[in-house]
Amino acid sequence: MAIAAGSLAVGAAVWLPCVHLLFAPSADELPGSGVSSLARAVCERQLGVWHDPQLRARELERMRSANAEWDFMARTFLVLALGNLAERDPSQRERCVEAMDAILDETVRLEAEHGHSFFLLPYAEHSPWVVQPPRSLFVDGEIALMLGARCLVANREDYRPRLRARVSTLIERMQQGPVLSGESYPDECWTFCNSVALAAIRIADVLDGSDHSVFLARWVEVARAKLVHPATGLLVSSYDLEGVPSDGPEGSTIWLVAHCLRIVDPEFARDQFERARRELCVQPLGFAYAREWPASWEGPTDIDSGVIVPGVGASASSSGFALLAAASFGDAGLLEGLLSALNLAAFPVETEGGVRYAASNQVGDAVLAYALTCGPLWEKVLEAGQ
Amino acid sequence: MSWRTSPVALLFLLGAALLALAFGLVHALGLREYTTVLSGTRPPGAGDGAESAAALYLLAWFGWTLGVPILVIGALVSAALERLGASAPTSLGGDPQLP
Repeated sequence: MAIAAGSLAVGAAVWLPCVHLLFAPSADELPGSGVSSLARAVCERQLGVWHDPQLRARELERMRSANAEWDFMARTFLVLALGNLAERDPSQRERCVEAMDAILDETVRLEAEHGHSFFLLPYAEHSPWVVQPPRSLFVDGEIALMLGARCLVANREDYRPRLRARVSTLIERMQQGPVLSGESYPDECWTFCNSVALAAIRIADVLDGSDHSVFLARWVEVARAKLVHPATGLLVSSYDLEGVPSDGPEGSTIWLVAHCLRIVDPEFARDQFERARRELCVQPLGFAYAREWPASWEGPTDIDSGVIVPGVGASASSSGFALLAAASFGDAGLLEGLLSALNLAAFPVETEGGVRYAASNQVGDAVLAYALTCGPLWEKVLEAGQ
Repeated sequence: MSWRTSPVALLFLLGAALLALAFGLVHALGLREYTTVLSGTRPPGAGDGAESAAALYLLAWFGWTLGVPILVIGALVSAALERLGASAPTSLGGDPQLP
């Protein structure tokens, strides 16, 4: 018995520290100055879905049946990924821009035909919006961000007034609350959506030569004062229009928030990233994953948190966005650990049309595509600011 | 004593073979696609048992990637230990070759 237990212990001691070597990303899969083989494969698959009407309808239906927001977010993150891909690989520029336009035009058409609620969860219509007429900052912000990303890659004159109009709406609605945040749902503000809106405003400033720096600085100042979770120093994920928190910090929110704030207030963004890394990241045996909540606050498992793996607390949603943040802030160690975990536990499926992940879905793969191509769009904005 | 006749090693190897077989089976049945439930999405045409199928695949996968190698290494180590034990003297002075 002692021999059996000792032998298994030796087996575990030898094998467990080595497992990550089997799943570590190869050098050409890691993001660098060009386009990594993995980024290309994931983007190809995403483009394939977009260009195949049947496949696209099936994938979108799968997501919409769980959460209509994912249909919308999959579009946003794919447009951002294509924008970065176009910048990284000029030979792909025309193809990427064409796809960005197709996605944008269809998204705006659906919004015009069905209204904002087409991309929202049903409870958007269950209670009155505080600011009238009803509009979701989630929808306005991401459409503005898509328009901005498109025009950063290559200007399109007819998109510029649309971008200006969206930005004007964003600012007007954000200024109506004491914490300068707009509603994504009735009397429900999200740092996720507001930071996307701030990034879109910042991009519009770069494109148009406008200056909303006072508004952007004021938002950060108010957020530092009223939207920070005291125990962690992380921004809370949601709050009402008056700024009263509904949730604490969440991994599925804070990583993207930090990424977006990079072009608004780099110092505050870095602070949030470092705190999130400390509070949410776990790096066992060469792998890495992110938890949805810090130890000092636990929220309910919901559509945003996704499935939480029992025992370890790993969240697919938080880990996916952590990949984006790790790429954005140049944290190579975290990025490699997260990619190793992705290879271990997200089950890559190689097809003729590229790579997808069985444990993921269309929006998860779009976030991954954006994470793997992350860099050029934000660099353009940061360079313009200098 | 040879490792081939070590009962503990044989048991470990049998366990490894069963884990490998279990993974091969669930993989061949296409249960990998059911892991999409981890992202809150259901696989196309999935019935009520999608979550159970995903859990089964995950267990089999980690059995294959973690359990099988640990059992194989454990089998080698236990065979080596039993072999050492068999060739070692049973009591002090009991070995006629010792001076």
